[in-house]
Amino acid sequence: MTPEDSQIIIRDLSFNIEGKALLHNTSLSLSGDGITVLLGANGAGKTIFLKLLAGLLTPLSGTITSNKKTLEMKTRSFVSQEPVILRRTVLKNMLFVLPRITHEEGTLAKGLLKMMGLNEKEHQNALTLSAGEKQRLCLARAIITNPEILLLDEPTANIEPNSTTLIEKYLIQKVRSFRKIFFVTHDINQARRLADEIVFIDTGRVIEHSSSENFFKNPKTKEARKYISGKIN
Amino acid sequence: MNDISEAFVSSLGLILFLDTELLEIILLSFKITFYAVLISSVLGIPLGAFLASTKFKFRNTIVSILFGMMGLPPVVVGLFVYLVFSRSGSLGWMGLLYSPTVMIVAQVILILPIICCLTFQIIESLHARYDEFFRSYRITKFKSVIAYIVDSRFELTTVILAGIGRSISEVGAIIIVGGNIDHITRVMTTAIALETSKGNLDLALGLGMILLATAVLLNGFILFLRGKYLKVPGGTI
Amino acid sequence: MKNIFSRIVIILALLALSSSYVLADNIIIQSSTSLKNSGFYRYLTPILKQYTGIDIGVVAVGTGQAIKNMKNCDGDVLITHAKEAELEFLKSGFGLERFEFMYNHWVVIGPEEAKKEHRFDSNEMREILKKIYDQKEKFISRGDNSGTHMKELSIWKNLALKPEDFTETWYLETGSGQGATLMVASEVGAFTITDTATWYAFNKKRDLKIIGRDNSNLNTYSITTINPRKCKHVKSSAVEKIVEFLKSTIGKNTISNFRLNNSNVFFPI
Repeated sequence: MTPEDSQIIIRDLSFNIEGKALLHNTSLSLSGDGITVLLGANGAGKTIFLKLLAGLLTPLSGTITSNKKTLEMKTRSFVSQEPVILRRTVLKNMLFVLPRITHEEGTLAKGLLKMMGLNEKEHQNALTLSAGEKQRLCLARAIITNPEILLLDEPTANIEPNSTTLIEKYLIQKVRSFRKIFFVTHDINQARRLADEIVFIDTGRVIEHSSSENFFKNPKTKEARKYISGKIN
Repeated sequence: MNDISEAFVSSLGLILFLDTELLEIILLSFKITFYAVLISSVLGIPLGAFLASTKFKFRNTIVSILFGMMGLPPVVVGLFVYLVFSRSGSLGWMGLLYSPTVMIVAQVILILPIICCLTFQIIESLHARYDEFFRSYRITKFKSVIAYIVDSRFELTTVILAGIGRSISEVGAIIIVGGNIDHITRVMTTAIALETSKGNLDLALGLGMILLATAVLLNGFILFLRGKYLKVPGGTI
Repeated sequence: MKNIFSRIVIILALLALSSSYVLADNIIIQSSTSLKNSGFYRYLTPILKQYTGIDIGVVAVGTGQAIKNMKNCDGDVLITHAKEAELEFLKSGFGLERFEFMYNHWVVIGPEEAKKEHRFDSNEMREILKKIYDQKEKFISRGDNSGTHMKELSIWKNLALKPEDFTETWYLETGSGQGATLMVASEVGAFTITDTATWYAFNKKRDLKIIGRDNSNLNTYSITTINPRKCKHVKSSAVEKIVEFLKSTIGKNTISNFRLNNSNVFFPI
């Protein structure tokens, strides 16, 4: 696939919630690899956009395609802002999302837990983990299904710093093993650390879209400039 | 106070002398409750979980009907089941009238809605939390319903206890379909009804106290099992 | 852990299953409530089993209901004490044959003071009931279509009186069993009708006494067999054995030997 073919094309995307239009005939071409960060203030509509990309919400109109085909569900893994943990052990939480549980998958699960620093807690009740550990578990769980595209909704928003570091490090190191990573955040510095591409969203509209370098050096819109400088609206 | 203290003495007397007839009645009560609650749970819990987590065309109608059925008067259910299983009724050929089996049938009709609706309420809130997660991993309906049930196992034991309580105290339906026949379909509640109609109030009250005691013991036993065997290994509940 | 849990469930299930009974020669009797309340069936069951090998199960719902149930074919034989209703049952084609097999007496029960104050000249039931009507004394009716209730209604009919017009003042219909009715009579200080067996079996008499009895009409119990053409599942041969037993000398002795409070309460015919 050429870089153009692998791009993710969004065409005339619209979405409504309770009558209010959130995304209005939005059209973009997102890069086909690397980490794209959806940046914006709380309530700007980043989560909705992410869920549309993840296939968890159906748009009112418009399409999301790649190489002229719509993205298949099974190629995408989604990590929500609030970790959803089942009432069972850490390992069983991992195995739950697998359609088949073989010895191979078991080993794979344990390996991923080790990578996330959770191997000692394999057989512990997953609900007793700290917020950061839970989110690491959710990330490990998202990866075990071998997705092409990883979508994360502010996963480090409410967790302790060492978990945040672990997660960020993993994403940066392993970005090549995924086709693409989408990451939502409102944290400017996190965006700086992670992004290859920035999609800046303000009150339900994509108002700026460029490479990370360009965005931070030369923000084109006044809202973006305000946001980067840390001013409150 | 006289009748009550007399009742207490009667019940102690019955227990102390391990009246075999009393034991027979208690065992039959347990048997009927066991099967009625078992069948109602096996059918009602997955049904409630399914209804709570699935949207389809007539779902709300079905749920409303089930909630309404919680208010079914036992006597009405008893009459209905009687008419169906009477020799002149549509299922009369089965010859099940005046047997413990038909008593269980009547109780399932009364208890299944309760278990189903309580399960529905419990799973509804869980569904709000888990739904997006299940959808994002394309978990099958079957697997997700089981996950809902497994994850609410604690709360569901309370639902089962509610079913047990309802069953063990029920008398209106089973006295009609069972006939309250000595040694065959007489349980604690119907025995109490009989003694009351005979005017033997102290004996009736005594039996009532025993009924209460057995219900409390049964509940205690189940809660104990729950605490011991239903928690997640390797951590708290 | 799970193993122990499932083992307990299995044991309980086996226990529950094991208490099931196997159908021997087992028949269902649709009966009046007074016979059951007096404890007669409890006394009769083992004797009947011994002599005929038959197990009886008694559904005691009151004569009216018993007859209705039999018309649904929900039983094998009828034992009641309301002649008119039984004859009507025969006429309907459901009943095959009717045998009067034992009797006792109808009595009027009332508060002790009524007896002491000699409020009633005669002890004849008919006279007493007339006076109760005239003096508007409180009276409890079974009101439940039982044999006793039917007896009571027949007396009012015979007197050409209509106590139903006074249900809000002195004529109280409880719709309950005999024992409960007697309890209400005791609480309220009222009169009611019952039979001698029920009366002797009732042990909360307090200040109730026998005020009078029916000297002209006995309380007759009959066993009515069912027409197998109308009810295909009726266990006619087993019922035959029971009827034969009740007609036999041993049967009659059994009836005579039944005692409550050291009195004979049933007399064989």
